[in-house]
Amino acid sequence: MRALLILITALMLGAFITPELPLNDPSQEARALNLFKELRCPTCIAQSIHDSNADIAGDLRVIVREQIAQGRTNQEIRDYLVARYGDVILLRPPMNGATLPLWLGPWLIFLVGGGIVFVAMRRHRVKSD
Amino acid sequence: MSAELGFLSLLLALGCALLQSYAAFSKAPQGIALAVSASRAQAAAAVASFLFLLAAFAASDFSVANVVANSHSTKPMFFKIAAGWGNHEGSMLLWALILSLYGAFFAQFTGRYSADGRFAIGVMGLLSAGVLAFISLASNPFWRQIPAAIDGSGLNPLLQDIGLIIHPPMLYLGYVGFAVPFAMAMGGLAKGTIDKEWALRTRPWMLIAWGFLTWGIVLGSWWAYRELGWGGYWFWDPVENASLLPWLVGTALVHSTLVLERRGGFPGWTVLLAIITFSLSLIGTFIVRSGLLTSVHAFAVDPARGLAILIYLLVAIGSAMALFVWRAKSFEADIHFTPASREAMILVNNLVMSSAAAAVFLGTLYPLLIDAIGAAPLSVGPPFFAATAIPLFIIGMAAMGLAPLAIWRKGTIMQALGQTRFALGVALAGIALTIALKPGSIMGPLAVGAALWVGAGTVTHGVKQRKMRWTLDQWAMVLGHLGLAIAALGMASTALFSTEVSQAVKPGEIVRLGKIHARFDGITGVRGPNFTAERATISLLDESGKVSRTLYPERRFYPASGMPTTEAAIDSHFLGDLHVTVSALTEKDGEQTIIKGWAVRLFYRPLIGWIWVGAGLTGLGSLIGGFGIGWRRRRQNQADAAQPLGAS
Repeated sequence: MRALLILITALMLGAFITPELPLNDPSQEARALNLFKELRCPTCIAQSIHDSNADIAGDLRVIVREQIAQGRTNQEIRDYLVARYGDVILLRPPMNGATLPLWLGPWLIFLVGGGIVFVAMRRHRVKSD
Repeated sequence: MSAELGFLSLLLALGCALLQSYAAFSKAPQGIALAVSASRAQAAAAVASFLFLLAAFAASDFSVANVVANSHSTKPMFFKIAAGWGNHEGSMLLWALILSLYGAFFAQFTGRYSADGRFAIGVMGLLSAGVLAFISLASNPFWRQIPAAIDGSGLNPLLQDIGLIIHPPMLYLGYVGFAVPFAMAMGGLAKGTIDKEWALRTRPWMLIAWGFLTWGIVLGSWWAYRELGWGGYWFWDPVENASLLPWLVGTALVHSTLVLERRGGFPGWTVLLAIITFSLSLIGTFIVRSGLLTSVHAFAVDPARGLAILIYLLVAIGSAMALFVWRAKSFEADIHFTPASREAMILVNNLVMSSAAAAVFLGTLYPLLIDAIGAAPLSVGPPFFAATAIPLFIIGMAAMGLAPLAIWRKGTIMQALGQTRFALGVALAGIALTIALKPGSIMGPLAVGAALWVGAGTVTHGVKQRKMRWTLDQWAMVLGHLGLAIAALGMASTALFSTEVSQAVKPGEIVRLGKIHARFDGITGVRGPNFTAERATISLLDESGKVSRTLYPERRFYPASGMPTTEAAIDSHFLGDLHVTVSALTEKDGEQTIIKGWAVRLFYRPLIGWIWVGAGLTGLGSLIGGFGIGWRRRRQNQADAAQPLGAS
C-alpha cells in the first residue's frame, strides 16, 4: 500500500513536470491540434485550449494527447470531456432541440429572404411584360 | 484644475447639444444657422473636455479617481496619455467627442442644405445630449478623490500596446459614424424624402463610417494576433462579434444605397438597414460597456451604467423604429430588373450579409439565452461560426465576382458569364491546387476559389475599363473588392496550411518546423520600464546552418498588476509569419513555483499578413470613396440649397 502511494505520488509529480510534448506520430499530433481548437478552456473567456496558456488548458491538452495515444476516437474523447465538464466544453454546440434555432436560424433567414426576393422579382417581370 | 475645467467643458457641450437640437427642430428660419453654430461649439467644448482629461493623465494627477484607477507613475508618457481613453469613462468621453465632431462636420457640409438634413442635425443633437448627460451623471471621468492617492494602480498590461491605443478611436470613428446615416434616415422618414437625392447626400457618410469601422476591426485583430494567446487573429469573442455586426449590416447598407442612388430602388429596406446598423453600433457599445458579455477586450463592468446605456439605446432605436413603421409604407418604389443584373447581385450581398449578421447575433447571444432559461450551459465558439458564416460568405463572393461585370437593370447570365472566362479559369485552378495540397477539405478549396474569383473578376472589370476615366465610386469598388479578395485568400491559406510545433528545449537545441530550423540559445533576464521579463534568444538557421535572424520572445511580468504575459516574437514575411513564443515549465513546491525548464512553440502561418493588408485596402477604398464623393457633393448640396425650394 505504502509503495503504491509512493508510486502514485511519483507519477503525479511526474505528470506535473512533464512538458507538453507533441505525440510522436505526426498524424496523431495533427488530430490532437485540431481537437484542441474545438475544446473550450474552462477558465478562460472565449478561448480554446489550443489558444490559451492557462494551466487548465495545458492539463487538458495533456489529457487529450494521452487519450489519442491510447487509441481513443475523437468522439470518445469529446464524450469523456462532456461527461466531466458538460456541453460547455464544446465550442461547437451539439445539434439538438435546444440548439436547432441557433443552427438553422441563419439559413432560414437566407432561404425566406431569398424566396421573397425571387417572388418579388418574378412579379415585377410579369408586370413589365 | 484641469479636472474641473474638463467637467465644465462637458456641461457646456451638453448645453450646446440641446441648443443645437432645439434650433434645428424649431420652425424659425434663422434656426438652421443657430443649429450649425451650436454643433460647432459643441464639438469645440467636447474636444476641450477630452484634452483636459488627457492633461490630468499626462500630469499623473492622482487626485482624479480615474487616473488613479488606470494609470501608474512608472508608465512611459505615451502610455500614460493613452490610458486616458483605455478605460470606461475616458472611452465614453471619446465616443461623445467623435459623435460631436461628426455632428459638426455633417451640419456644415450636408445637413444645413436640406429639410431632411436639418431634421438630422436635430437628431444628432439629441444623440449627443443623451451621451453627454450619461457621462456627466453616471460616468464622470473627472471625479476627484480626497485624499489623493500616492500612486496609480496601473492598467492591464495587455492594453499597453500601440495596436490597442489606436484601435478604439478607429473603431469609434466607425461605430459613431453610422449615427449620420441613422439621423438622415429619421430625417428622410420625417420629411418623406427617401429618394435618389437622399442617397446622394447620405452615402458618402456611410462610406466614411464603414471604412473607419473596417480599419478599427483590422487593428483589433492585429492587436489580438500580437498580444493574445498564441497567434490567432480572430477569436469570435463577444466583443469582436459586437464590432462585426454593424460591419456586416453596414456592408449591406452601402450596397443597397447604391441601388437607391442609381435606380431609386429599395428605399424602405435601405432606411431600415441604416437604422439597424447604428442600432447594432449602440448595442456593440452596450455589450462592451455593460459587462453583459465579458471578454478579453472589455475593461470595466458595472450593471448600473449598463442600465443607463440600455435606456438610451431603447429610446434611440425605439423612436427610429416607430418612425419607420409609421412612414415606411409611403416609400414603395417599383423597380424592374433581371435576375443577373447589378441589382440582383447586390440583393444577394444584402441577403448574405443579413444572414451572416443573424448567425453572429444568435451565436453571441445564444449562451446567454440558454443560461437565462436555466438549461445546461453551452458554448458557441469558432467551429460554429466557421460552419455557418463561411458557406454564406462563399455564396456572397460568388455574386461579388460577377457584380462589377453585370449591368444595371437588364443584365443577363450570358452577358455576365461571357466576361468571366479569365476569372473562372483562375478560380478553378485555385480550387484544383488546393485540393491537391490539402485533400479531404471541402470548404477550404471553395474559399480559395471564391477569393480568386472575386479578385480576378475585379481585375477583369479594371482591364475592361482601363481606357475610361474612373469615377471615385469605381476606385472605391475596385480597391474594396480587391482588398477583400486578398484578405479572404490570407484567411483561407492561414486556416488550411498553418503548421506548428511545441517542444521542451535545452540551450543549443534545435526545433524544426518544415524548413524552419530554430535554435534555442538560452534565457536572459531583462528589465523594461514597468516590467521584468525572461527573454529567450532564438536563432533561425539557414540551410548551411548559419544564423539568418535572431528572435527574442519574452515572458513578461508587470509588478503593478501581478500578471505574467506572453510576448511573442514574430518574423513577418510577404509569404507568411513565423510566430515564436516561449513558456516556462514549472513545478509547484509548496508556496513557491520553481522553473524546471523551457518550452518553445513555433507557428508558421502562410499569407496571414494578407488579411490585414487586404482588409486595410478595403477600408482605404471606402474612405477614398466617402471623402472624395462627399467633398465633391458639398458644392452640389450648396447649389441645391440655392434653389427656391431650399430658401423657403
